[in-house]
Amino acid sequence: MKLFDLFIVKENTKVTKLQAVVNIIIACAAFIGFFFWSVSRLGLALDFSVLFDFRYRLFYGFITTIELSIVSLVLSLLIGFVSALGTKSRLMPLVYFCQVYVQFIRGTPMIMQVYLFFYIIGTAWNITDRFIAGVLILSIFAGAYISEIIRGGLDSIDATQLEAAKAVGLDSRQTMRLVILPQLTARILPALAGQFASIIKDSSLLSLISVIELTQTVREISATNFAIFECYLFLGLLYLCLTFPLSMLTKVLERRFKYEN
Amino acid sequence: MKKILLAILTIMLAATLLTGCGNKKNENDTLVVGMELAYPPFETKDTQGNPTGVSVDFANALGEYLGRSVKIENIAWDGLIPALQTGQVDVVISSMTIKDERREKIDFSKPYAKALLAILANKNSNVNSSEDLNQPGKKVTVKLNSTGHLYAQKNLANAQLITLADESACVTEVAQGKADAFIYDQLTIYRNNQQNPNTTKAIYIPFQSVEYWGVGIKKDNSDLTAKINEFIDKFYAEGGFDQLTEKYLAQEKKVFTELHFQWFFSDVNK
Amino acid sequence: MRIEINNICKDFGDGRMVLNNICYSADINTLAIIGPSGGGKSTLLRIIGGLIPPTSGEIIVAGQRVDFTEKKLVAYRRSIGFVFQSKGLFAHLSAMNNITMPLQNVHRYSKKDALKTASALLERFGLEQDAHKRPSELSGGQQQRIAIARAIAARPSLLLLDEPTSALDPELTNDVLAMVSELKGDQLSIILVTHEMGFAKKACQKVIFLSGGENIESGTSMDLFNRPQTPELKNFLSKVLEWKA
Repeated sequence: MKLFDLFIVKENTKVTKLQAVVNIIIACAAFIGFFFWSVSRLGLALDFSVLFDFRYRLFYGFITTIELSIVSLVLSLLIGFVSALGTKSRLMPLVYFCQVYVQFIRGTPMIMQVYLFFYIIGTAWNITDRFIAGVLILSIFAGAYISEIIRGGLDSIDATQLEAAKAVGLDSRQTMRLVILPQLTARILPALAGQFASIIKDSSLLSLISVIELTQTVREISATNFAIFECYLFLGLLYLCLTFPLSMLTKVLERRFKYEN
Repeated sequence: MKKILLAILTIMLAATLLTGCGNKKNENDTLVVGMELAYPPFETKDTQGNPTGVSVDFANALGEYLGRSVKIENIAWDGLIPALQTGQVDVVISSMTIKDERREKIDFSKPYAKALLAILANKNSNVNSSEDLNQPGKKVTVKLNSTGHLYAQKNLANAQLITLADESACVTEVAQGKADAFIYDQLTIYRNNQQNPNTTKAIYIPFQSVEYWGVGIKKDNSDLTAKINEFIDKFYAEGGFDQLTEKYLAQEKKVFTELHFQWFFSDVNK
Repeated sequence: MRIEINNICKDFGDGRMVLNNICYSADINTLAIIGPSGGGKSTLLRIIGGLIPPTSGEIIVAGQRVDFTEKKLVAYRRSIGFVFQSKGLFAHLSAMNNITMPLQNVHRYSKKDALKTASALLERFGLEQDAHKRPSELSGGQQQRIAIARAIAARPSLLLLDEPTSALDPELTNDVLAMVSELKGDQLSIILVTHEMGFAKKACQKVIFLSGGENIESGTSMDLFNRPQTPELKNFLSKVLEWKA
């Protein structure tokens, strides 16, 4: 019976660290085991050593993905913030401009935006550097989603908080700095961490215009060595290395900012 | 409660194992043919979305010869070789060039057609031959995994290589001047040059030896390979390819003759 | 403090006249505004507090006419303390910081002075142990008392309270009302909108009865509660003070 206790949580007791570790290993082993069982049924032999020759290109692609994602995160935060404020403005053309922007970007697939932006707008306005074009596309794309996150955050701030700020004598800039921004940040931080993970994954679509990030690097490598399965498995692993810490961070942030409830 | 759970788990496990044993492939049935339906008039779709083209007719004729019904699977170029490796398709008939690198993963039949690479260059680039491409600062686009890609990787070390997934993207890059040249087969280059006469020029000076197309077959399938080779000889002898040319490539045959290009189906198996 | 409300009208643009020509003029120490829900009480209080501008009319507080342009209003609000019905405390700040933040940022207290003032206030009202808690960790009664402390921290001359106990459980109401009562004095005038008739009757000097956006009756609380003149007020009081089976 004692061994059984490792796998079952008693009522009203918390999961112990030992239980968590053991069971996570079992769960992962189940996934990986099922996958390799499928592979063996096909008679495939996976040889990961082919990737070693390409370690410099893989490393460079990995770094480029990180650079793309970080710069896009910053830029998209800016765009999202301006857009969210724009929808709350009293200048009607601005309000509708921002709403149309958000609707269009969120309502169309990114693959279309990549092609449209690079080959039409990019060429028309002489944006030739692929990295810069990639950052712009990714930022405009993520900016719309962040705009909605921020707008939702702003809407969720109780109206009385803003009235209280008025009553206490704060002017609009002070209200923004001392009341709105702190509360907004607390509310949107978990969602933003999730959005950052999305940006990292969405950057893979920039391979369409040959930005030499991780996915494009893997595609090019698999063209030479035809080791498609090994290449893409490794690709998945590398992306997980980036997104997994972020999802952990999201959980921590959610717990920390729960004071609203 | 715990006992019931345990019983259910055991039954599920047993069921999975048993079904695993009973899943042998039916080899005497349909011939599954993989091709990328994005290369007219060899592999393409009709207005209803059904597969049509030179390779489709060729595949159907092969199926008739082998006494098997034919099913065409539309698979993106990148996925054709993996599809063979995993047995998702039996053969690949997709105007695929026989190359040693590909031979490491799959087998090929004897050649059934030939093709040559050509260059689509931007009108303002001073590119007039393949040698002009191998300069630092020159930008060359290729379609991912194509023979143009393999050629560029081997022979154009000084140029900047831009690999893209879609041919249309490659052509756009050249037409807009984002790239100096696109390396692909003669037929496609000819077509795209016709479409973009003001922004592109085509260079047909052959810069490599002729490429041969073969039927892709999963490794260690010598029976099937032998039968397909027999079929290719038979098809040629009966004038099958001449009929296909009449049906799909009449216009192109005229152009190739005018430009003195080697035709796909002439002198393939000397 | 002398307060004059001259012909105040307010409509919110949808045709409804929330306040219709309110006139009132008196020297007040504690003033209660009572009346049925939707009668315009909260709106009037907010206009007096400079939180919303009237559609027309003027307000004169302690001889100064209130200028309702946004810029001047910011300065006016700084001289008035306002307590909301609920959720008036800043949710992201502790009780202590709720008081010190406005002192430092609006009234330019130094950090030391702000802390000193805030601590003294919390101590005076028995709230020291709650100083570092966030509003979500406090009961409604504690929140309201801290809101009052925040409102009077900068020593305003006028304190406005909008139904401070309406959102509270009955047993917490007394603590809050006791605190308000304690604040009465020459230096601080209080205007509150309330449904607590007992408090209005016993602790407040003067009363305004608002109904349907109009000043139906006003005067000393003694007069209004014991000798109501208008049928509306009589009706209202009969419903409120006695449970008729």
